[in-house]
Order: sequence, then structure tokens, then C-alpha cells
Amino acid sequence: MTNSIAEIEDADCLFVIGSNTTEAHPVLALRMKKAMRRGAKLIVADPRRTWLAQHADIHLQLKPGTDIPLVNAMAHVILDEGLQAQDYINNLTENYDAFAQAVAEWPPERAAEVCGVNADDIRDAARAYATTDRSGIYYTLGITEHVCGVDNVRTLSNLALATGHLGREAVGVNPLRGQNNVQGCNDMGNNPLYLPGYQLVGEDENRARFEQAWGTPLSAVPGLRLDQMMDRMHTGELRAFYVMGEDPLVSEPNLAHVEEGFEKVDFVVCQDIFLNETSRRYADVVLPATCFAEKDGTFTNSERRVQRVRKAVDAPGNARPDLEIIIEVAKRLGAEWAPAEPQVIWDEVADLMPKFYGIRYDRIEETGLQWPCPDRDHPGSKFLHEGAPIRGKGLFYGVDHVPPWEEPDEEYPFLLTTGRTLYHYNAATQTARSAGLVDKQGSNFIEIAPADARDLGVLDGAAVQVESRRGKVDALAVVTDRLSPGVMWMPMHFAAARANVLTGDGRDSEVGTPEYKVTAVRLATHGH
Amino acid sequence: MSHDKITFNLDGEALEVVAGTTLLDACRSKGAQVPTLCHEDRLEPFGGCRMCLVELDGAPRPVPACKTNVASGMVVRSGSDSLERVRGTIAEMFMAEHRPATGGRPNAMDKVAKRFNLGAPPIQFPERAQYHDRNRFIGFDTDACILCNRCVRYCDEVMQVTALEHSGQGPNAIVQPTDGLSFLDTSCELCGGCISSCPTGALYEKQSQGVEESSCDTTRTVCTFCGVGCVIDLNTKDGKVVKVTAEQGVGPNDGHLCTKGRFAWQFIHHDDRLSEPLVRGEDGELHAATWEEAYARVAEGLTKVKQEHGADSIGFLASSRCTNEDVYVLQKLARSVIGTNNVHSCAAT
Amino acid sequence: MDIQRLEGLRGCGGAGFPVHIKWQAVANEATPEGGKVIVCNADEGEPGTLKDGWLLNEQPRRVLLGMQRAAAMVGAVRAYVYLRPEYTEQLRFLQVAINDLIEDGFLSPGSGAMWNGAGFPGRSVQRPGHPLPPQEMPNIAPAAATGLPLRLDIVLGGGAYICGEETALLESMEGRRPQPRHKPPYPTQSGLWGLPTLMNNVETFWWAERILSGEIETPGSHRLYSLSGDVERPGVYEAPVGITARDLIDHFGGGVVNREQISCWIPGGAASGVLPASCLDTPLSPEGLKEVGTSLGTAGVVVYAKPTQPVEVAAEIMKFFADESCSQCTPCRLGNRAFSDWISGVHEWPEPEVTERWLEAMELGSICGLGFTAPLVVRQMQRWFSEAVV
Ligand code: SF4
Ligand code: FES
Repeated sequence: MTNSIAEIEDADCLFVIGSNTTEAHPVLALRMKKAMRRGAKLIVADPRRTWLAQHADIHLQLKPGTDIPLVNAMAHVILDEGLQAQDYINNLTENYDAFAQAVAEWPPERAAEVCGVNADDIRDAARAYATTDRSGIYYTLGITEHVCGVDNVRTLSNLALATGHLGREAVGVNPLRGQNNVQGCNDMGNNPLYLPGYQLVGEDENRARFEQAWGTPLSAVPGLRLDQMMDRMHTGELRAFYVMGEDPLVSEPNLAHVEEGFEKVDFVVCQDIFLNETSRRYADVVLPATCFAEKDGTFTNSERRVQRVRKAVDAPGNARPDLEIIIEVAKRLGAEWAPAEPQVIWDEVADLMPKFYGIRYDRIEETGLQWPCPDRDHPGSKFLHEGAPIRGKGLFYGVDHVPPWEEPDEEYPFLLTTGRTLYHYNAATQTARSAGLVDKQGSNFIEIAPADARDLGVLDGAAVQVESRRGKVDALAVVTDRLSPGVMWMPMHFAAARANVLTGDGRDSEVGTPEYKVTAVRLATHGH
Repeated sequence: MSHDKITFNLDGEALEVVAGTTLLDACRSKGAQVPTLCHEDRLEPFGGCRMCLVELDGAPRPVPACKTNVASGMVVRSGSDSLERVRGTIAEMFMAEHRPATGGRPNAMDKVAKRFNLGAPPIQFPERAQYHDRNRFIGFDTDACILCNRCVRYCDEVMQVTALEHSGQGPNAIVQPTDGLSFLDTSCELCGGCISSCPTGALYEKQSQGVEESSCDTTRTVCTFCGVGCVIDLNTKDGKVVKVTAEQGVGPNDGHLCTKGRFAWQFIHHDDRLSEPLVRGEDGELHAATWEEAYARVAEGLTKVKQEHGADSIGFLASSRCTNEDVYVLQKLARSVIGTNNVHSCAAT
Repeated sequence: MDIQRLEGLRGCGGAGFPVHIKWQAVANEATPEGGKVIVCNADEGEPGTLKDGWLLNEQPRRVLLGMQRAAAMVGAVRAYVYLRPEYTEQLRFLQVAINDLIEDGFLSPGSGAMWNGAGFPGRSVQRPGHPLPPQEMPNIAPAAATGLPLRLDIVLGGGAYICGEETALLESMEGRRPQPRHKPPYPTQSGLWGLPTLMNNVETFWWAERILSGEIETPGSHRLYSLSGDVERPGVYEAPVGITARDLIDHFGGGVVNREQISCWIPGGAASGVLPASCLDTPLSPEGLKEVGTSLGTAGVVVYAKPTQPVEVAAEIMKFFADESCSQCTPCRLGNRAFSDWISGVHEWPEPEVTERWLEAMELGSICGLGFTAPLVVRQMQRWFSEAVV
């Protein structure tokens, strides 16, 4: 996030796109609710009529996968009506022309047709966003989990740049992180291209710094992204896989493909707190780890705040902290590292990452600090891009519509999109073990628009089978006007009916994020 | 909002505050001990309990400090004998209907009773009907409820789902989930925020009913259910987590939590937790092993693949749920020990 | 100014606030975007009071004309009659009168719509906006004869005693639980939907119409007395302020039923407490009744013949208050409940020191008139019938 969570309540206009915030980030949504109660304008772009959409001033109920036309059209209106921040554009951005050209192609009427929304609503949304001083954009996986995920994000940053809505309190572009430490995981260099602290692995001086600190030469060859790893498992090029706290067999798209890959791998290590699909079926070794309540360390939240995690209870049986396990493995492989003390490790991290240099355990005992925090007196950064974009000039992109990888056709006439619900978390390994949550929401369901339900003869509560080109899963039908006809929605949490059996191979061409959000499906009833 | 300063007189002293400050906040800033029950800093002023009455010159009767904004030139007394008498009497009235709850949460009425030195109330009203509900998270001990409406207002103002209501009037007035339904059948999202705002402990966590909160140890840490990073306190007793609370004014969450953060902690002590290393045997099944065996097998497996196919034939998948320190050493393992940049995590957002 | 002609007239809903001051206050307010509002409080709920219902049956047109004049004088464009839901007959007469007034050009076309106010059990707080925030109301066409726009609608009350309290009434109209608001701000400044609101009782508008139309020269010289209880001819009577209860009962009410002896009586609705027969010669005027510890209230005189005991009457009143407390504030909710139990003998009276403190807490600590005037009933018992309330 470019802004802080607490700032949200001071926003006067919230543009929420591809985020069912009240369910995926309920506590952050409370700040939005507070802003709304204060009278802030709310614009929601979402294929579903979510809680926020219901309470929005403008709900743009777009077809899944049509975010670019929508946002381009908003930009079109802004330029057309002269609502842009010309000074900001002139002084602090570059590549404006490419952007202007691209959006010129998307008058609201054209976008309205593609997105299935009202052109005047697009106009109103654009005006509200552009003319309100404290306007912020908020998005989540509904934006990124598409073949054009990166482009989607670019159109949003275009919008912010064109209006100068960046670099102030409550004003910015805010991706809301799904898992608790996605931010930290990226910061720490769990990325094939970046060393910790977003330092490109291909650049000699970056590597040199780490080679010196770690005392070994490092490979300059960029690594494989997760999706590429899956593919290389297939081709036999990836022979061993070390999985920490994940269950790719549930979370990765096109499950059949993933399974075949795992069949071919020589050696799999899984390190987790529960046995899961992947470890049960493919692990050669399963290492019992500790959960957050049993270890010390830090997490970094969506607002870049590094916060302390503390041990409250002992781990069950012989389970050990991940840190210790990995250090022990390294030792068996011949590396002698510092002892498994979180604080010692963190100091190593902070010493190697200039933006984190000032963050030390003694400073975050009470309250976490937000990076960048370059020195030990730095108060941390509440919001980014103050005064000017960090890279000097904000870069506009000319972005055009990229249709989804798979679109509905005669055979698979419905568009399925997936998401999170309030009551579960990811593959529900933790939440499904809470009886109280299971009471509230216990099994897989699929939301269907009333008109579609009528055409298909499906009743509310009926058992149905959802089929894509790749597989089928069972679900109970929930007939609801939250959706437009032609679109269906299913949660991603239920292991027994994994939505990813259905999802396809569409991925963002640049970062490989799978397209979980658009799949063509058909429905079969189970009899009655 | 204007930041104009205004001056008024509190207990004989001139005091300068920012326009829009409530009398309660002004009193607190000066250290005046004004009792409150229905007031909650995260909620809009309500003014129902009448514990915070103060005397205001020119007003026909005392005014609630929580619900009155300071105006320029006001003359206010926060603690006369007659005020203390009235407040004490109102506290006594509460005692006529309040019965301590059994949920184990702290009870603000204890402090009130102490401050006003209350004995047995002069009248005791009959007990209320108990509320039985099949939800497993939120318990409600109706007899402890003092109708301060904090829970109702929390549900309305903060969550904005209006799943609780103050229903009925007079002696029949009660707080209840909408229409007296189960918490599971209303618009309730089971966030438990009502519990966090209830001063009497009438609302409590069912999963730890009866465990005295004051007897628990707390460890401050961070919730793992999404990227917001709510700061939570794990309440532990006898080495087990028994409930999760959050302190107001702390962290990005300011004391708020969602249903997962507050209630879904059972996985920590679940029987399914892995407690021994497992190694796949000749029979294709996983068998318990010692750490030494497991480590040896990992080292052997990785070394073999590396020798036969090169470092880049090994991939690492980091978890975005582990700590920074955990994932840092994982990529360090991949890069500096194995020698590959094949390290990634699941969700790129 | 015309408003000054009302000087002398006091509100007839119970509190007796000078009418011209209230009208002037609303006239002085700047007109906000949604316009100003007139509300006629026709939620007659005070036990022993019947005059508003009677007026709406007999002379609804004059009441409405009073509202119309008020609107013209303070600059309001919307008006509402908040009607006690039991008054179904009155509702029909009102509707006829409204249609007539549209036809005669005093009210804007479209007037006479109807919706329900909230009551108990209801949500304590809800998003406002029932049924239409004022901004969304269609433009109101001017009335033909006056040239002024005035849309007059009817709101059916929530059916609780507290709905008659002016701010609870506003809450009810806005669709929320009828719990009185904290004052200030007063409705004249921020009333319905936050708009400046002039609210008066049915009878007040009726008197205002008679004064402003020139029919009456001395405002406030008369009241409509509701006479009920053990009298031969109960009813609503127009009589001078200052008439004694004895005269009222004898001349208008035809005396006590069966010529029984009077045990006790109520001068101005239940909230004014119970008086002994010895006070029957007190003038029914604000000043006269002040002498004996009470007020003229709604001018609802209720007569109780022997053998009814005063304490039974008081107990009934306290039970009524306890039941009708909106339950928002503690002193009213629990204080009334305790006194109801004590006075009726369900619980034993505590030490006098306790009684005194509890009365004081109700008087000083309650939010609205229900809570802070209810102790008067107990205090009047202590004064006049001390043996019954030890
Ligand atoms: S349940 Fe608790 S918070 Fe709710 S009204 Fe009762 S005492 Fe207040
Ligand atoms: S704290 Fe002010 S009235 Fe309750």
C-alpha cells in the first residue's frame, strides 16, 4: 500500500476495484465504513454486489476481466473533461502521450458495452474520483489474478498519475495484501529475480554485497517463477521441490497439470503445521513446523509495517520453528550459520537492506515501523511518493484491453469467478478446524444469478456440479441477485471441492500470476 | 474541521481546548475522574447511562459530559458532592438489575461499586430470560446486561451490519440479536466486536467461558489471517491459548478484530497438528522419524538431485504466512547453499 | 409582525412554552436546502387527555389552517401531522380536510400522503432516511390560493407514549426507535432530518388559527379541558384558564357520578400528579396549580370518586411510566420501575434517604420530561397523602 491503513478513514473518495474488502480484509474495511459514515463517496467496481457495492454511491458491476476498458474509460472522461492534474503530469510523469492515446480509444460508451455497465456511471465515477481532493484507490486479487494483472495495475496507476492522486495522506494506490506476510515474503527476496530488499539478482554489485555477507558466490541466473517451476516439473527439468507452509496441490490452478508434474519429481520436502494434499501424496520428508503462536519473529503487513510476532505457547510434540529447521538443513548441507535466533537473523536482514536499516527489534517492541526506514532515528514512512513518485517521474503506460484467457462459449456458457469469504482463509486448513466457523459456512457453494437459475431450473440450495474444460467440482447453489446473469461465483476455500480443479492455464505474461478470476464453466444438476 | 481553540472554565480553572472536544475528553485531559459506562472511545457519544453527569452553569440540570461539546465560556464542575451522590445513585440503580456474568470477562461494575461504596441495592429486579444460542462463539449472559447499548452501537456504527438491537421498552427492554434470532441467523458476521465493547462481560467468548481473563497471561503478537496485520493478545492459561483479545488504540486495528482473528485460534492446539517428522518409507507410506533421520534424508535427497541435475533443478516455495526471518533464511538456503534463484512464493499480491 | 399577535398563547401539549417565541425562533432560522418543516403533534397519549382527538374529529380544517399559517409565517414548505395510530376516525376526517384544502388552494397538490413512524420494538439506531431524505422530495408546486408551496402529509405514530415527546417523535418519523434526543440542539434549530422544525400540539395550532383569523382577541385566556373519570358528563370543554376544578366538574361535567364524594383528582394529565379533594377550589391556571405543587399540563382533569384510593391512582400512573420509559437512560428506566414497585407494594419502601436520592437522580439525571417529571407524582403523594407512601 502506498498509504497507511489508519489514513483510510480520512479519505473523501474511495475507489474500490476488485476487492471484496469487507470479507477479505474485514478490519481494514472498518476504516472504509468509518469514512463512509463521515460522508466519503464510495465507488465500487466489482462483478458482484458485495456489501460495499450495496452501500456504494456508484456500483460499476462490470463483467469479470474487463477492468482495463473500465479504467481506461474513466481516464478518457478525465482527459476529455479536463479534470487531469496538468502540472503534476507535466512535471512529475513521463510517457503521457502513450497513455493519452490508449485511453482515447475508450470512450465510456465503448467501455460500457464491453464491461456491461452504464456509460454515465463511468462518467460519474471518473468525476468523483478526479475532483475529490482526498481520493484513494484500493484493489486486491480481483485486479491481479488475471492474464492482464500487471496491466490492470498499470491502468490504476495511470489514473492516479493523471489526477495527481498520489503521495498524500489517504491519497494513493493501495493493493491490499491477501496473506499475512505476502509483503514480507516479497521484501525478503523470495522471488526469482530479486535478492532481499528488491535488489535485482542480475546486477553484479547487488550480488557482490550478498556474496560478501554470506561468504559464498551467488548464481546470476534468474530463477524460475512458481508457474515456471510447475511447467519444468512436467518436462523433467525440475527434480526436487522444497515446499514451506503451502499446498500447491490445492492452491495452484489447473490441478491435473500440477499433479502430473509432481508425479515426475524425484524429491519433495514439505515443511508445515498440518499434513496437506501435497505432503500426504508426494512428500518424501515432512517436517513439522511451529505456528505463529509458537515462535518469535516479525511480519510485515500491507501498509509495510514490520511488527513483532511473539511466542505464547509451546509447539506440539517435536515440532520446531521454521527458522531452526532451515538452519539445520543448511548445516547438513555444509553451511555454518548464525544460531536460530530471530533477532540475529533480523539484524542480518536490516544490515543488508537499506530501506529496512532503521528497523530493529528494540524499536518495534510497542509499535511496528513502516519501511522505508533508512536509519535508526527515522520514524518510518506512513505513505509513499510524497512530493513526487519514488522513481523520480511517474511512468504512464498505454494499456489496451486483453481479453481473458478463456471466454464462455456454447459449450461452457458461464463465466466463473472465484474469491474469498469472510469465514475462511485460503485452503481453510486453519479455519476449517474452527467448528464455529464451519457452523456458519461449512461447504462449498456457487452463487448463481436468479435469471440463470431459472433458465437452468436450479433451485436455491440444490446440489450442482460445476464443470470446466479441466475438471468438475460439487457445490450447493445459492441463487442471489448479487450477480449479473452469465456470471457465477465460487469461494476458493473448500478442499473437498477445489475450485482450482476448474481453473485454467491463463497467467499474467509478466509475473505469472494465475488467472483465478475468469473460467468458462457449465452446470449440471445432481437430480433432485 | 476547525482547529480553533476555545476557552472554558473547568472546576475553577480556565482550560483551552480544540473546538469540538467533548466535556468528557476535556475532563480527562485534566485528570478529572468522571465515571462512564456507556461511553466507548471508538463509538459516537450516546449519553444513556448518565454516569458522566457534570454541572454546567445555566443548564437546568446536569449534562452528560460524554455527549456535550465544550462551548466557549462554559462554566463546568465535574465533581461536586451532589454530582457524586447522583452518580452513585444511578450506579445503585444499575445494581438493582445487574448480576455478574459467568463468562470470565472483566466487569466494569466492580470498579463502579467500589468507587461509590455500594452495598446491597434497595431493590432487586427479577432475572431476565436467558439467551440460548447455538452459535459457538458469542455468549450472552442477559442478567449482566446494563443496556448501555455499546454492543448495539458497535454493530451499527463500526461493523454497520445492525445484527444487534435494543428491543422493547421499560422493564421489558433488552439487548438481543435482531428479532431474538440466533447470532447465526442474523446479519451478524461473528466478529465479536460486541464482546470487546461490552463493559460488563455480559457478552463473552463462549470458547473460553468461565476462564477468568484476569488469570490469563497475555502475549502480544500479530494475527495471521490476512495482510492487515491486526495486533492481538494471545491469552494463555496452562500453556494453552484460551482466547484472543485486542487492545484499543493499538496497531492498525485499534482493538477491532474479525471473526477469524478473534475466534479461529483452535487450529493452534488441534489434534491434527504435526508433531513428529515423517519420512516416506519403502512401502510408500509416511512414517514417524527422528529429526536426525529426517534431516539426513533431506540433505541426502537435495544433494543427490543437485549432483545429478544441477542446482537449478531444485525449486523452493516460501510461505507468505511464515515470518520474515523464516522466509529470509529459506531464500538464503536456496541461493547460498543450493546455488539457485528458484525461489518464489504462492500469491504475488 | 403577525407572530406577535400570538403573545399570551402557551403550548397546549403539556410544557406550556410561549408559542410566539417558538414561531419566531423558527422564522429567524436561515432556510436550508431542504426547507423548514412544520410538525403537528397529534400523538395524544397523556392519560386523561382527549382534546386533540376531539378537535381532529370536530374541526380538522382549522387545525390544518393553523399549520398552513405557521408555514407561511416561518417559511416552511413541508408539514406533517404525526397522528396517534389509534385515531383511525380522525385520520379519515383529516384526509377529507386535506383534500378540501388542496382544492381550496391552501395546500400543494400531492399532499395527504401517509407513512408509518417507527415504534417499539425497533432498532435503536439505524441509517437515517425514512422514507425520503428531504433533498430527494420532488419539487413542491405552489398552492393555488396562497401562491406558497406547502406539502402536508400524515405520519402514523409508532404507538408509544414517548412518541409524543417532541424529539422522540422526530426519531420515530425518521424511522428509528423513538428515543428522545439530547437537547440542545432544539428542534427549532435542527429537527426533522436536521431541518429547522416548528412543532406544536393540535390544540395550539387550533388556537393560533383562531387568533390569527381575528376570531379571538385575548390569546391564552381559554383552554380546552378534557374532563374524565367519575363525572356525569365527561368530555372536552372550552373554559377560561383559572376556572376551578369544582366549577368545571359541576357546571360542565354535571357533577360527580352518583353524587359520590371525590377521593382525589388529577389537574393536567397523569404527569401532573394526584391532588386531594381539598384542592378542588384551586384555580386551574399555571400560577394557581404551582401553589399546590403542580402544573396545568395538558389540562386533562380526571376525577376519582370514593372509594378509589389515591395511592391506587398513583401506582397506576407509575406503572404506566415504568412501562412506557423508552429505556434509553437509566434513571427513567430503572427509577420509574422501582417506584412503581414500591408504590404498589410489590417491594417494600426503602429508607426515606434512599427514596429521596432516587427521586433526585431521576429529576437531575434523566434525558427527557418523562424521566424528570415522573418524580412529581411521588412527591405529590408525599405532600398530600404521606401516610400512603412511607
Ligand atoms: S450487552 Fe453489554 S454492551 Fe450491550 S447493552 Fe448490555 S451491558 Fe451494554
Ligand atoms: S458515559 Fe456519558 S452518559 Fe454514559
